[in-house]
Amino acid sequence: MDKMNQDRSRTEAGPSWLRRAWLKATLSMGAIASWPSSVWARDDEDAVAEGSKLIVRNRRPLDAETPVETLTQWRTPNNLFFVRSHFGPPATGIHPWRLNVVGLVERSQGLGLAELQSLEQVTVPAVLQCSGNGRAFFTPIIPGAAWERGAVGNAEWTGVRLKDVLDRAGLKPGVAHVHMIGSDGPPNPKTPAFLRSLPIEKALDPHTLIALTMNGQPLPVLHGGPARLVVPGWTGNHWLKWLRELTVSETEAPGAFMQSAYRLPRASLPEGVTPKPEDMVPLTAMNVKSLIIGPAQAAKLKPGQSEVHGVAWTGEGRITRVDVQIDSQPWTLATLEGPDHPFAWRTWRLPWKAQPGWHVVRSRATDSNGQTQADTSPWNKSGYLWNSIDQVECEVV
Amino acid sequence: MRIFSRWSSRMAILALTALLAVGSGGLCLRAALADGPDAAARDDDDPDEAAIERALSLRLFEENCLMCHTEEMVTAQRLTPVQWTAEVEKMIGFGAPVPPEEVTRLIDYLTALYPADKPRAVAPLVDAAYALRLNQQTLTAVPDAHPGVPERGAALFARNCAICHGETALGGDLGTNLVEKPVLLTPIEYTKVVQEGRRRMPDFKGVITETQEDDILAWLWSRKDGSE
Repeated sequence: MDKMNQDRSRTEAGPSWLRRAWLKATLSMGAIASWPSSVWARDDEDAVAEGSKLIVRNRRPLDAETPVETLTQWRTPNNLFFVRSHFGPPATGIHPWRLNVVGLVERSQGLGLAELQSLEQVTVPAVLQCSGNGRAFFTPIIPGAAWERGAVGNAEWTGVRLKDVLDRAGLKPGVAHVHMIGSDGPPNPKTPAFLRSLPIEKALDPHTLIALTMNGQPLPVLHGGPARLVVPGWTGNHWLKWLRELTVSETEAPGAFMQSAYRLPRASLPEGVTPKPEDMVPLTAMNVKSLIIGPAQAAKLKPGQSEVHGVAWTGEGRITRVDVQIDSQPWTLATLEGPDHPFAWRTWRLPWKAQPGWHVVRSRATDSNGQTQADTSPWNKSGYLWNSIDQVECEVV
Repeated sequence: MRIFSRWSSRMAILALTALLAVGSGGLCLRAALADGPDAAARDDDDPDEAAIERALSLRLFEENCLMCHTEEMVTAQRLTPVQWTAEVEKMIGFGAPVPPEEVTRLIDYLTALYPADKPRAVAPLVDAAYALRLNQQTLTAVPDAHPGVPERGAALFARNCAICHGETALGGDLGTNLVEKPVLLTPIEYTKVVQEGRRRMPDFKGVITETQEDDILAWLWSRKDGSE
């Protein structure tokens, strides 16, 4: 009977050593506990704002999207930021963190966190968007995570320039790519690891960071903490999380996640046509896009003076204008405002005299390269880079 | 398992009959299974056979897919039979241990429940604090004073766990990668899974003692992710 009770309490409250330590930790009043209190996981320093919600597309590994109408701040709070990975966060605290730099370098490096933190830190505000944001809108339906509008956010990323870390190692001649991999190993040896590579030009761009801080907080584990890559202007698949090893090389990284995933046909193809592998090129920069933050989809508004507001961003270049259309009225120029940084989003606003009835509100951004949003996005078999004119319906009663 | 609670005793009898029929080479049921759940339901007026088929297919799905990810990744999809076939084959290539003779049944099951022409599911809007806690570990680091002995754990792992999880604990035919995974810093979950099992993992109650559990955990902590 005693053994049975022991077993039951083990599965409910954990092993004896955990229960003893927990008891000690709770009873100790500043006295010497057997472990430092930092061993116990605490809720994030950055408390979750009350009422915050996430759209959970998958629990494990967590794929969660931000409801667009809550993206009301220029800086998306860490605990509201969309979450995405292929294999879920690893247990990052088991080993002291170490970033290795190997391959075609003069001096291989092994940098701990303290060492990374001691190098010159820079802050780059930048939009992070999943390549598949908007996949749910393509027809015919495309397999994959059915992101709608909210797999995107804007944050201030602080860390070391990737260039500075590579310069410490010293690049040998002939280098063309930097392979990168994190500590989120695949669930099975047959599953390809999330091994990716960046072309050397983008790796050496002064804005490309190994980020340790997100919006002033230590990079949360769910967002790749303690260290992730930040590749401003480029799609989210490049922003490798839980960064553990960089290998400098003459060639692109091998493996499925670089060689077959995250590629587009060189030239647009009719839907349903399968492109040849040699005609597929890697995704790089994001395309121009806008989001209507308010009014929310299916919102009910009071008639009278109101406004339409949102955000807009692009991959390379700057947002030059955002136009808004309400029902079949002419497109009207919205006012761009707020911080203006090359890789972050702009906020925009347009006053609107809301008349009673059902309304369709649309937004269309244009960038300095002349890219503008259209009614449809080019279909591709993976459902990447959806950037059609954003649209919400609302009712004024 | 809501369907079991509705059909329980009748289901048990029918399940037993079905197993006996298959075991003895019952042609009728075997033909029905080979044609997939829809064919079985069409061929037979008996809704119980369709229900058995559905239950067996559900278990096939749970036992071969949910070791690596939760079900929403699958149930949110709306795909054609060709697309479902491609996805299942891709997953088998990634290590999903679907028995070869059951592949067709799994594809038929997914195609029947999640076809391209069915309206999309609505993903739940969840309290953010709760969603973020789904991934939270109990500990942020390995505790100093831990009774486990990794050298003893190595031998115990080799004897009890490696057959499914691989010699290096990086995953094997039936068990997933354990190296630097959050369960290692969530001792309550670790203990529960070892003691009670989970899906295809058997329970080790009475086979692995608490001391041995501690030793295995200590050895697992010493393993490093293969990227180094």
